[in-house]
Amino acid sequence: MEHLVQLTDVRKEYGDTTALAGVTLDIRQGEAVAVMGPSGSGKSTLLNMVAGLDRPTSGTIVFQGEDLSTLSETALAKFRRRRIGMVFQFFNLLDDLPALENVILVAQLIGTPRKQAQARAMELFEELGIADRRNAYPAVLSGGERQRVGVARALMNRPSLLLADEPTGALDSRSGEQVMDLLQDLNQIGQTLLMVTHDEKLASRCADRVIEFADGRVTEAVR
Amino acid sequence: MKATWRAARAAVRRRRLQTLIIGVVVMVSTATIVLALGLLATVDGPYDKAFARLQGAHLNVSYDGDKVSADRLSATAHLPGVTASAGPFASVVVQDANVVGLRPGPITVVGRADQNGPVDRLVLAEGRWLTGPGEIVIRKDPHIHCRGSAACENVGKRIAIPGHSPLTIVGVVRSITQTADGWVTPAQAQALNPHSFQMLYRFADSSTGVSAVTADLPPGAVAGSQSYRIARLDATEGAKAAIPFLLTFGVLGLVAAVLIIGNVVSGAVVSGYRHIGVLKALGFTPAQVTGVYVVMIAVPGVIGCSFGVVIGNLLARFITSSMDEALDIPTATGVALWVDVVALAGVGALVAVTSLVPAVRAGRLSAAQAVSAGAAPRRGRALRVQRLLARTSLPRPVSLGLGLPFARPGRTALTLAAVAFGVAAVTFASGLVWSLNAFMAGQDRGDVAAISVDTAMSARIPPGMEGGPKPGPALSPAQAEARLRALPGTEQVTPAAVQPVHVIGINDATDMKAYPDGFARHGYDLARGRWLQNPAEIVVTGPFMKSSGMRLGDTVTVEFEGRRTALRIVGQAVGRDQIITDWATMSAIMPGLQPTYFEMALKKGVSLDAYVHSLHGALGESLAISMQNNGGIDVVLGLMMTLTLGLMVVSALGVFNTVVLNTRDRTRDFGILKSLGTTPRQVMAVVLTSMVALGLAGGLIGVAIGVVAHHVVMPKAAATGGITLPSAYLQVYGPLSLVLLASAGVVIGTLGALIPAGWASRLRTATALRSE
Repeated sequence: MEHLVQLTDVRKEYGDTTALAGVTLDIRQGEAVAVMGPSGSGKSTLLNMVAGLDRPTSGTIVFQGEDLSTLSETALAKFRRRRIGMVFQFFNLLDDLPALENVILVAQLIGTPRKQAQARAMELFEELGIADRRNAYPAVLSGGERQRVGVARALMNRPSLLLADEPTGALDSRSGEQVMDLLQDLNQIGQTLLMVTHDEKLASRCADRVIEFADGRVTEAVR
Repeated sequence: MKATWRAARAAVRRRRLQTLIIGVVVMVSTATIVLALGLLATVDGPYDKAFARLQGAHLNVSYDGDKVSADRLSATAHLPGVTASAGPFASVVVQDANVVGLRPGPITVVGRADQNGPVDRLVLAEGRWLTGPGEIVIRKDPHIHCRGSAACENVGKRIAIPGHSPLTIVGVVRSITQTADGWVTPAQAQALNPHSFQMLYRFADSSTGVSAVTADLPPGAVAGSQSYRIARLDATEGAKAAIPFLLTFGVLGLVAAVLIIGNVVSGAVVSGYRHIGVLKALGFTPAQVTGVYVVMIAVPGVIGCSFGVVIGNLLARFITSSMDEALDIPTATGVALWVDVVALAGVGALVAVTSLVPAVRAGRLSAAQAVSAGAAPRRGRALRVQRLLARTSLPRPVSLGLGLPFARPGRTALTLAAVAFGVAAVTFASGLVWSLNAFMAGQDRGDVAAISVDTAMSARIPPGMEGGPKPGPALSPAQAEARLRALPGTEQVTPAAVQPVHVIGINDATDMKAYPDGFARHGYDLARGRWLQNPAEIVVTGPFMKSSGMRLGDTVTVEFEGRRTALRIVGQAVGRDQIITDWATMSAIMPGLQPTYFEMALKKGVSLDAYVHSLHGALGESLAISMQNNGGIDVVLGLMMTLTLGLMVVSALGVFNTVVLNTRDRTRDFGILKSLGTTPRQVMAVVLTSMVALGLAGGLIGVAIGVVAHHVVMPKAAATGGITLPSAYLQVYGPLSLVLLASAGVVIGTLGALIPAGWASRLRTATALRSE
């Protein structure tokens, strides 16, 4: 399988605190990787580095042959728009926009005409079973619904890599199950997936590979 | 209490920027308020203060020396109601003093030993007081601007007195009640063969009339009298016309300051809801929470207010001293204590109330509610607007930015009001300046009469003073005109004649003017009626209308040296002259009328100083030159521009504060947008668009308020000064100026938003996403 992301000796320090202490990791196209570890072990920092939300103190992150450290802030923003989809633990939806508009927004950022974006968003809402909630505001949606809107938004621009940060962490067990099914289905149709989770069930069910993290390092890789 | 204080101190330290903004907004607002209130007090105040300090004369009575003796007059000092008096001083009218720096015409010279004394203390402006005979001290005339370098230096010059030895000018003084034009020693006065006595009175009741001291005197004993009110009016007239404008302006400024302080302070409390929740979770009582927030605001509020009072006083001191100079009031004054007290107490109370209301509300919030205020999803607002904007073809950052103000309608309304009032103030002030400039240009008749010279001052003898010698002018009118035309820098010379006449029903002499070239208009703007078309018609100015109580179409009877004529008022012009008629009509009562008054237009780029200097060279050293003195108005205009600037700064700070608060509120949203691929520039566009939209809306509203206020206030204000403004003076807003004024709102919005927008664009996404 082709390499999608390659991290080589990536370090991240915040003052005296070391969040990542030299991480080397490959993620291949179509693979589903779960990163597990205790709180503060550097999992989310790793995800932020891959998403280009933060820059490493040293080391390189190469995404489809492109070294992210060479990109400007604007180029990183454009990189995220087209190649990354992110699903957050606390959904991070824009409260002032209805569900459908939250999703359409990301397509508009890459210049997709509104009609086309709306059709694509509706398609995703149908697939995710939230079509009837498209005009609702995030404040009135259940946690599971909000997370499905988040997933729809992440998939809107057909990203190369879907990043999920504790995607079931804020959900009840039933909603969590639904999201797990969703991620599993996505991976089965070829979506590359990198998720950070405490949830062993999610990791074992959805991931091809589980990486154990502690103190900013990879301690064990389980296939 | 200790816990409350500690929590408040920590909050102040944690919110350094917000604390700074509150402090600066309160400071600038307070300074603006002090300046506005101080000005209102000053325009009416310094004359009265100087009058009290210098023991100004409530009444200055001139007695005929042939009808009443000095002893008899001395006795009037002991009449009931008289609290102080000076005199009798021997008084003489010198017909041809011809002193540069004094109004043309005869001057009143009084014999007085003491510069101070019980009434009308004289303040030395130049030179020294009298030491013996042969010397004279003259009065500084606020209406004459003498700029002719050495030619204006009067001290050391000699005044020729027909039939007597010349007098040497040894000093120039200011008299608060303008009781004479010159002073000599009593012995010198006697040598000038005086026919009159001057008595100066101060009364327990300042409104006491002349009859209180003259009732028992023989008939005809009183040659003339002048109340201090005339001098007072004269001293404050220029700035007084601006009072109604300033009042409106002051009110506008106060409202803007109140709104902005309210916005800034309540915003600070509302943005701290989560902090409030944490305090309550720790066991703070509602009263303690309220206390924390009030103290948190009070610290920068009190500091800002105190600095504002100091700055306001410094500015006011500078401006009032300039105004005193312009109005020729002897000593400068600053801001009255009550202004400081009102500003300090008023702004303090305002800060307290605006912080107390939301703080009390915050204190009542349940801890869970408050804690979740920052984290829980907000209900979307103005949903239809958001949806509509999303569907437009505008770039998404722009439509997102346009939607932001609708999410916080309360804060948006306050910000909108702050911007609108800022722009309204700028619009109103600009219109005022333009209208006043148009009015002043109208008074000056454009450049037609930049400088006027009267070559026949000795001919201008007020009624009742006719017995003295009447030496002719040094040059014939034709010679004077030829020399003026030959002067380098002269663009145009307009000859005219100006003579004081007596209008039946009006006590004071009134100047009548005519031009030898028939019915030409000579640049006069008409406020009402029409220009001269037929003989026996006159055009008058507003102040004449007001003082005479005449109306358009009325007929007045004018008398000159026993000859009378009836003239009909056909128009009201803008200008400083009183009555204008045609040459034939004026000649009818003044046979042999000569054009001895010349109005000069100067070539472009010619310096007034240089021209005046050359005038003296051409026509002689002792020459009366009139230039318009708009000092008082200029100072008022300058002050208004200062106030406008203050308001704009406060408005911009208010907007800045709103954007800072909104940016903080939206940190997470901006983080989300960045995580989705929004570039820093697009985030900046979102923030800037939101404020530019508000600025534009505020600008449009502000321009409308400003224009309406200008159109309503300007004519009323002018009317209080007896001035009717031609409607052209009100049509001062052109399309370009309106667009520029409306864009002032955008400027305020953009300036206020620029820095927070930069912060938002540079937000670290990972940090922003963690923010609650």
